[in-house]
Amino acid sequence: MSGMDLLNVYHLQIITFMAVNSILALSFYLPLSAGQLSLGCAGFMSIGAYTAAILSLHYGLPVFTTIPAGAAAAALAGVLLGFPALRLTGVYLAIATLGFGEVVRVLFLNLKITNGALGMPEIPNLNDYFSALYRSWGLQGDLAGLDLPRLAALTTVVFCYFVLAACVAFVLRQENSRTGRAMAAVKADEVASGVMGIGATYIKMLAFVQGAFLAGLAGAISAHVTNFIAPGDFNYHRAVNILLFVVLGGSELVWGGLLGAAVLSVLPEFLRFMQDFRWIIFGALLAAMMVFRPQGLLDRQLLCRFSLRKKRAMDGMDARASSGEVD
Amino acid sequence: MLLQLKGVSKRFGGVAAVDNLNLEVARGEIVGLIGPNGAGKTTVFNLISGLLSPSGGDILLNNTSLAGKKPHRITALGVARTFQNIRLFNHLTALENIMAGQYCRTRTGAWQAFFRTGAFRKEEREVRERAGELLAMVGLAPYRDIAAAALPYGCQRRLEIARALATRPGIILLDEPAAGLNEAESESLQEMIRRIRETGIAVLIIEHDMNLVMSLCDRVAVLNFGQKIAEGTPNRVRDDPEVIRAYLGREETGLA
Repeated sequence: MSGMDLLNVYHLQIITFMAVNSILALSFYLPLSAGQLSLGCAGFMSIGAYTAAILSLHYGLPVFTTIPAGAAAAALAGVLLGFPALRLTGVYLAIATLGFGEVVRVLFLNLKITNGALGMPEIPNLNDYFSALYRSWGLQGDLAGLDLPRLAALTTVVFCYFVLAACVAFVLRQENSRTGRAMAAVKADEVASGVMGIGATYIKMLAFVQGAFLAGLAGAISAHVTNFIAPGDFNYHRAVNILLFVVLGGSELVWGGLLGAAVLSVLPEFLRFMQDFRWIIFGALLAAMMVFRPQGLLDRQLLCRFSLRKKRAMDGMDARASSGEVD
Repeated sequence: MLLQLKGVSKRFGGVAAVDNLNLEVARGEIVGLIGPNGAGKTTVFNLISGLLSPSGGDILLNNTSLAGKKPHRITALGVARTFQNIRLFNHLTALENIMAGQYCRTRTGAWQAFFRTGAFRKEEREVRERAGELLAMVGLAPYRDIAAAALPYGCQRRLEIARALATRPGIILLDEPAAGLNEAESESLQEMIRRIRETGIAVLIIEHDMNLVMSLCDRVAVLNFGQKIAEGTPNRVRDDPEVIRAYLGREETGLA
């Protein structure tokens, strides 16, 4: 037994799922940042996952085209759903989008091309892809004490976190831009934002479709990480789970959802020793959380306490631009 | 003529909230819109700014019809407004509120923000500078990083005006800007409105504070039950017997 044991494929897969779940948290956060409570993430995720699986299994397309294609398919579905659904607000939108997720699930359950309830096995795996890649480079044995499967799994982790980092950067930079201010304005007061020259319909659609894209991206990646997908993977439990990432982590800030996704990805694994009791403990923890800290783990105040730079972030200033201005 | 209302009507069921209203505002003019509660003044603002569409008649801005257009399009054409019950973007800071108000005069998108292109950085700098100028103009520079909801009431009123100015309007509609302000605040508000006019922006103002209306407005229109019952210089309107009867009560003591 060595320290390398921590880097076994099982652990690496959990770390990979943390990244996928973080992207899902972003996909929930984005519409919310424009004032929309959308529970369609699981539906969009399944569209991304199935698109990627079908394109790679039936059409033999490489992984690096199926993943963007899955995200694009989900974004397209987001546009189509957005037109009718974005007339709704609040809890009505939540119910409509949850209904959309169920419609998609039942559709995939009954389609031939998705293999119905049996699901789609043997989806080309990112690990295998990287293994083959390294082998084609002439790499056979160990590299820095890592055998090929571990090296490939590690590459998958790096790939997923690279994608996550790009997504986080996009969301953060958008927040500190004209588009992000418009989203915040629409969230704060839709009527006033219209009179201030902001087309709320466009802004809401943009946030909604961006969310759908990210959910599809997460779905496509997860299809290529797990080998196997079935309609049951994307039921309303999944939708609620994604909601929990953001509610538990804190819905005011991007970082809240990311923290929530990380905690909720790892916590069930840590509680594994309790076997069947772990879901009871898990539920109790969530209930306690909602009683003692309803705003989520992270909020502006907490960030403010961390550091001065974060305090500026709390005040809503782009720290970079302001320091440039003061200088 | 900058803004023209031609025979504008708005009916809610059987009630005519605004009835065949004709009103004109010229560039750089300050026009008062007064009348008792429920006379339809705010409805007129909602019609001009596009929150309601007229049941009849037409509204023209620089000879372009506004009737039936969406609020954000009308704002882009040059109409800005404030609300009787202040409607700021509460959790945004004072500066951000004004920056958000510049949305329709700026262009860069999310991708430019992502790659921090030159165009994005330049526009962002300009938006920030302009927001700072507007904050200073309404005397709120020290409050720039305070959330709008946390500002004192009088400051919120001024911030709302600054946010409306950020849209670079040709005309600004002020819905009871002096409501709830004390004497000193009301004085500085008048001063601010005069400065706005000096920049060439027309002002249409609903106000119950008659001192303010009389000293500020070039012209006053009086609404009662949705109909215009008088229009003219403040002095003429003040002495108009119809106005005194309908609006100010029966005792012919005139105004302060």
